Amino acid sequence: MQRWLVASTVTLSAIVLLPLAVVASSVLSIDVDLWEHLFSTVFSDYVSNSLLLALGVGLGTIVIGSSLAYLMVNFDFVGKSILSWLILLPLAMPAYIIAYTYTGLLDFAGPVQILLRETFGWSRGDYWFWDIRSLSGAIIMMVLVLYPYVYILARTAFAEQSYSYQKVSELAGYTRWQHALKVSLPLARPAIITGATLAMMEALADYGTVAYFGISTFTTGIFRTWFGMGNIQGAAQLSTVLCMFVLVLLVLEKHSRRDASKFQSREHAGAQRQRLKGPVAMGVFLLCLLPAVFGFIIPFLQLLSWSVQYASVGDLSDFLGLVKNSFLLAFAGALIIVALALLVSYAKRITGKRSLKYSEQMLSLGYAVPGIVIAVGVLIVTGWADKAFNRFTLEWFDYRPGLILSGTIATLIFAYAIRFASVALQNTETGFARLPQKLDYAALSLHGGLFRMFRKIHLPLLSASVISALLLVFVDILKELPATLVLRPFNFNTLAVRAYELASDERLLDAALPAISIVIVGLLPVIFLTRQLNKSSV
Amino acid sequence: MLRLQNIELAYGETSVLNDINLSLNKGEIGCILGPSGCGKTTLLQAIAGFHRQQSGDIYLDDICVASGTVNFSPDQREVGVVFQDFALFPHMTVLENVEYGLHRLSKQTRRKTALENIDRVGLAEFAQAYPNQLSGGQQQRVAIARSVAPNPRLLLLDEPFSSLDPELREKVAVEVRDIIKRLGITALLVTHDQQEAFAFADKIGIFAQGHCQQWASPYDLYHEPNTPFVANFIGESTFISGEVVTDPEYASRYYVNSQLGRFALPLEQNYTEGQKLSVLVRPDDITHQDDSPLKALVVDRRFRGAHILYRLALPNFSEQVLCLAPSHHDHHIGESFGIRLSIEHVICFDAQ
Repeated sequence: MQRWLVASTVTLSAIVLLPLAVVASSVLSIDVDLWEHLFSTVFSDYVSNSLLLALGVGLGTIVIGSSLAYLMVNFDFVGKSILSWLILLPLAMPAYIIAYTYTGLLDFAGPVQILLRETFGWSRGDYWFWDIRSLSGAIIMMVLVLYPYVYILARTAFAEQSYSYQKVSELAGYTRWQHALKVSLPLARPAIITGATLAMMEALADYGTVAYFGISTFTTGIFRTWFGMGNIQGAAQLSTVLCMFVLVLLVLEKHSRRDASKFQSREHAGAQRQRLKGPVAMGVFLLCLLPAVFGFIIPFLQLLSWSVQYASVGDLSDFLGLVKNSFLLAFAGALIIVALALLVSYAKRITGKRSLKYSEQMLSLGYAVPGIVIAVGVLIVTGWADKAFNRFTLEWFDYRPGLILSGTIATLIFAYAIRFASVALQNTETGFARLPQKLDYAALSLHGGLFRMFRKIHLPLLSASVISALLLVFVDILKELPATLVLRPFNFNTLAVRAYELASDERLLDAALPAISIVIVGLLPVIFLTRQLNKSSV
Repeated sequence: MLRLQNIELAYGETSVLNDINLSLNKGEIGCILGPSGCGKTTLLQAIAGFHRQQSGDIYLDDICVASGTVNFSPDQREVGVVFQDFALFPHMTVLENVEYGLHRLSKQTRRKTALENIDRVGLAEFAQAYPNQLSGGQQQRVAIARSVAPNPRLLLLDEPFSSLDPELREKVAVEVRDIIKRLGITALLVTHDQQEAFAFADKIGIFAQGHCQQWASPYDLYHEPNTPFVANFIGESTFISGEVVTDPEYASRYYVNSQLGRFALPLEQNYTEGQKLSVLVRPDDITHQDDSPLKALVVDRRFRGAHILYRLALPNFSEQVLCLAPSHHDHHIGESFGIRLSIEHVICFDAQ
């Protein structure tokens, strides 16, 4: 039983990780022509744009996320409990959706510029207006939805700082701001950097926003190399370069997490909050409100108004088809991925085998790999498997079944498993970690059988972790764009794909309904998260 | 050196400290001892300046640092505090931690003073180490070096040993006491642990429900408790009932009659004849003597190595006392047990 458990888990993990190995191995056969072409044309753009994007997003999220966290932890003011809900809402807003919403708002034909022209009597060419379809635009859009990554970690880090630290500074005669600079911030630094690396990984992985804005980055480059030039090996090699950048971030993230655990104080008596009153309190409230206003409220209202306009003229049956497709896909994907995560965590717990620990660690890195890279890997693997299978059947049965794997839902879920197994694993791992080992000894001594123990003991106790894993994976799949775009079956559309396509065709109004559906479903885990965070730290 | 006068402090409606009066001489170590929730940490915070008392005055070196009109900020009061969790900054080395409170000094003096203080607590070789590389006891000493480095008028210690392993606690407490005594610092410790208080302090204040029950030396607390609470809190004790009587031969003197006999009451207090009293009996007030005519019955026994603590029922069975007898006097439950009284001076409270 144990051996079976180990073997199947390791095999499954290996299969899931195969596409990444294939992408990595592509560097062994460098396509010289392609690289000469790339170097002489767009490669430097890819590098500089991707790096600037990541750095800009990192910096922006650090500034917004950590100052919000500092204010929320250290001060009390009217409206704070509302803020603790509003601040996280942008998490529900995928970057490509906020990008196209603001484009609609700020374009030449958008309400803002129309208003300016009408007020000042300008016409085209009379004035300069910031072009949102630019690198700075992409950075701002991503900062607006990614700052919660830093905020969440920084807030916990600030809240966990011992009450006594503040008193030590008071005794030494430092002001609150000196204390913040000398003690609070340095102590929260690892957490802030961890959050920023996560945001930067998202920025590097983003395809929808940069493609919509027409910015040449690695992700759009990979897409172009495969789709435009039909060069899948070249796409894989570009993917490897992108993965190097991600790897740097990943190392930084792991390192910061280690630092953060070192900086944890033993007593978690939260800081003493200063009560703000009057205009100062009002000012702080408004300041903290800004990110949520721009990151969620404005784009959400815009989407809402577009959706209402569309609902009166558009075709709803088309939309319902999208909803059905997306939900079924996301649900099936979530079930399979959470089952995989449970299997891995359970096998690791029962046997404690090192091979399983490695499997778990490798699978947990999936979140760092950009969706487009996973898509390329999966394409290569499934294409290869299809070819091999057809060759086999042709030889033995004189029959060619055609493509069995490529372009199927199964392939798509396979790709999701690589990207989102980490999300599910995080939940199952912490869930299992909370159950004491003694429980297993008791269960096994009373009534042996690993499967029975899992079904009767672990699964019921883990129900909360399993539900939260299902929910998170479900929403992540629903929002996922690049891998779905590349791997989906012919004529199979999801909310995310359709919203992106319609927006790319400048049919913003038509794109609103699928877009807002994604946002609304995306709110569920945000509500979950806010409740958890409020319980733990404020 | 430290003088508190009529301190009253409340959080909103709930009164936390009532009419606290106590004082410490220079170089003395005081201790606030009491169960959790008795307001002892609040008092420490009021002295340090983290909380403002509603009324009453706090004097340090005969300077009033807090009263109705005066309120020095924590850094103006020049007190050092050692926190329960030590509150060492994990991102700073030992040296940087100690230098943190010396920012008003010039750079060279700052370093020199910090190094001197690290050396005084015996951690010279760890100056460049980070707190997480040190043991609990070493972290404790860094915390002390950091708080005494600015040369405070008073050192406050808030449950400083409670985060250490129980085996380490007493050893570290003695070490810390030696350091404080050597430096000649006046210190006030807050704890709920009697052993710690006795090992550490010259003077102890017993706190309960926001009141200071008694402020005295450990010896006086044990032998002359002011209130039944103090008697119960310090050491093991039992009470037996008694009644005040007079003796025609000594008209000026009152006595208390109890099951264990008649004892003379202290002269300085007023009693009325027939008044009901509770007489405090400590385990060491009762000596075991096999041939004594006074017999009690063994109800329970606790083996304590060198001694056995017997719980004894007195002849009418309604009252019990404790007796600490040498270990080789091994009596079983239900056996008769000869006792002799060795009460040197009797402690009585009004019967409740």
